[in-house]
Amino acid sequence: MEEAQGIEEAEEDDLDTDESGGALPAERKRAIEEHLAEVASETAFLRNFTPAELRSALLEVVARSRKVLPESLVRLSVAAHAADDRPLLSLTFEALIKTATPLLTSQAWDIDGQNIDDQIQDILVKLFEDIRAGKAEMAGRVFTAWAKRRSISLYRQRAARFEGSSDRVEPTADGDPLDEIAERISSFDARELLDRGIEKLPEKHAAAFIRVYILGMTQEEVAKEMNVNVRTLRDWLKKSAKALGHNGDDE
Amino acid sequence: MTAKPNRKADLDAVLDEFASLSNAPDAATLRAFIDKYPEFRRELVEFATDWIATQAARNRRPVTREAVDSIVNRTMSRVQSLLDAAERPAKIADLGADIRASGHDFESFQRTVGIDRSILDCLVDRLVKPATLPARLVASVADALKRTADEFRDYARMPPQLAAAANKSPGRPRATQVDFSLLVEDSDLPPPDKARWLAEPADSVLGG
Repeated sequence: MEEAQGIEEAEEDDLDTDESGGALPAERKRAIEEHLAEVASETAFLRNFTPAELRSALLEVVARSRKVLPESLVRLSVAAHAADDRPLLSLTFEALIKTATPLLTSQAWDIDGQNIDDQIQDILVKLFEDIRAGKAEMAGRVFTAWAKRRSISLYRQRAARFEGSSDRVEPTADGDPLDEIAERISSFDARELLDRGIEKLPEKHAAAFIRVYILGMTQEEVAKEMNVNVRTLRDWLKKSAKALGHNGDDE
Repeated sequence: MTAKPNRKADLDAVLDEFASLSNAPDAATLRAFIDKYPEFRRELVEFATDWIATQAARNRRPVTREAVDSIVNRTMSRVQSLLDAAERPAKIADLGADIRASGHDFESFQRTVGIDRSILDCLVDRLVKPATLPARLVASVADALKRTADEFRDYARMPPQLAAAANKSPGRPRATQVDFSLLVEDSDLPPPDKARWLAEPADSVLGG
């Protein structure tokens, strides 16, 4: 079976959005429709197994000798819970954990070591509770998207905890803003710079840098949304560019 | 005009759709979503920002089989505890056992409630004066245990666990209950967390 991450490879430069609803690029929509059809087909295939065959297949997933889409495993877990089949629920969920952990580890972006273990456990235990509460629909459709939202949510909780630490680097409002550097960083270069050193930036500076240079928002828009004046924002951008090693001479 | 839509449910659906993009959004993609869902402009911008930030900070180390197996084992242990939770006694007799039965280990429980190990140990051994427990702590503990607040209050009201307390090192209080604020001050929590707990009002039921 093709892994869920396969649909991550679909191109997304086609912004011909469907007027009937949603804002996803049309090509992405088609990729997801194909993915959902694959999930439905695989789930139906597995549900046609005898209990012994299904158990054997799940043990193969746990042993890494067989691949099953995480969405299919979510759906099978939901079915096992509905049937009140605890052994099958345990085994199916174990297969799901085995399948999903590498993906979740790759999404534990800003942490390492024991913290990754903790985050993944928290996400998976929450998923188990969602399955039992009948709230696992998204995880059973596009698991990568579901996992992305959970990981970003946990990232925000961590960021909120340390939010105060970036306040002290707020610039003073005197001095002339040297913001010419702002217009010189392309989206591509901005992503490269971030990849190399985002950890050097305070949370707010990183957010401003991303919004202006990658998301293409104007400095005025970003300043308003972040509740600071434009001069302060420009100072953040200047400091961010400097911290990331961009001196503006290469443009 | 039709009935007012459920904003939370709509936002969830929009963010689910947004998260279904194959890569973190660029300016054109974000603009397309904002044009389609202008009412969620702020949430979309924040989500896109965090997505790009977290992707830039992603862990690039390969995932080993041993690491995956360790996570599977620890998670399954918590899942089994959750499955056992239905068989839990009506009253909390042993907070440590109840924590495990709720699907937590001590570390995850501490993280969820926002306390450190020294405070948790004192809660388990009931070495805290119940009347000094903050209302938010009572609510957080009960929520993490999937119990009612009154079930945790009943536990907190019981006398200290003498045997457990006697095994503590000589420097620790022996079956003497202390104020919650003292535990916070002596804990290893970061100063902002300590300040937050110290500012919390006591639980009115336990204090009354």
